[in-house]
Amino acid sequence: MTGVPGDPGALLPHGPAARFVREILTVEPGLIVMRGAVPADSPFVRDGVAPAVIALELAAQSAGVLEACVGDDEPDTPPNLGYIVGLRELSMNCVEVPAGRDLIARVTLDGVARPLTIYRVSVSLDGADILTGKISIFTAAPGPIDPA
Amino acid sequence: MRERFRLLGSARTEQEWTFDVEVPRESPYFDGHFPDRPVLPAVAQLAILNEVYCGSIEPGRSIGTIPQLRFQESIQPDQRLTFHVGHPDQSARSSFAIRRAGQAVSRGTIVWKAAS
Repeated sequence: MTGVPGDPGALLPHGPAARFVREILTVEPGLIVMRGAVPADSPFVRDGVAPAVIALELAAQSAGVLEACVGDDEPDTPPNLGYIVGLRELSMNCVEVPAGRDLIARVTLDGVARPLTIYRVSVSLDGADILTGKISIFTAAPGPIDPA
Repeated sequence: MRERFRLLGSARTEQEWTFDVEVPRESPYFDGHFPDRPVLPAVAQLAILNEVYCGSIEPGRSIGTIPQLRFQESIQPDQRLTFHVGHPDQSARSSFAIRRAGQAVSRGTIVWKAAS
């Protein structure tokens, strides 16, 4: 596993404006716990809140960071593109999530069939789950490849 | 404020609501996703659904659970999309699909809950 970066967002293909991840709390093969937030200036935010389903993006980005941390890529290799291609058993326990508040995403590897990877995810606010479920991510090397 | 998406129209049939949407290249949904390769985030599809369906068509609903949803093809800027939301059954469950030129790009099921 590569060293834990100070800025987990730097491991993602997302530009700064799109990043929800802030700090890796725990990372090991098959597991990552990430602190993040819905940015206050995110286009998903209205009147200081976003639909709870938007927390899914933090979970997906956390999965991307986990993938990057355990990968064997050379340090200067551009990050792979990860696309959410499937959701399963996703449950939102509230309607909205406040922007800018610390959220904790827990992502565990549930299955692999490259280029698809399935993760079990949860996102919590103040110790209470706001989102749980499974996501499938298709990973592609940077380039003109469509996951379809 | 930059336009996030354009709602072009909506219609109700016996089976479903449909609404047509375009997400312009300048939309902040594409900011940083990804640099030099704009792709509409999956969560943006759900955000548009939430805003149009839950905000205007059926106010008072929110997305409760998603038993399954497949994002089959990526969506680029300026593409015309048609959202299809089946009328909820007794379990508040709806079919959901997004089509582009008649072909499904996303498809699944959503269970609604009443917004508190």
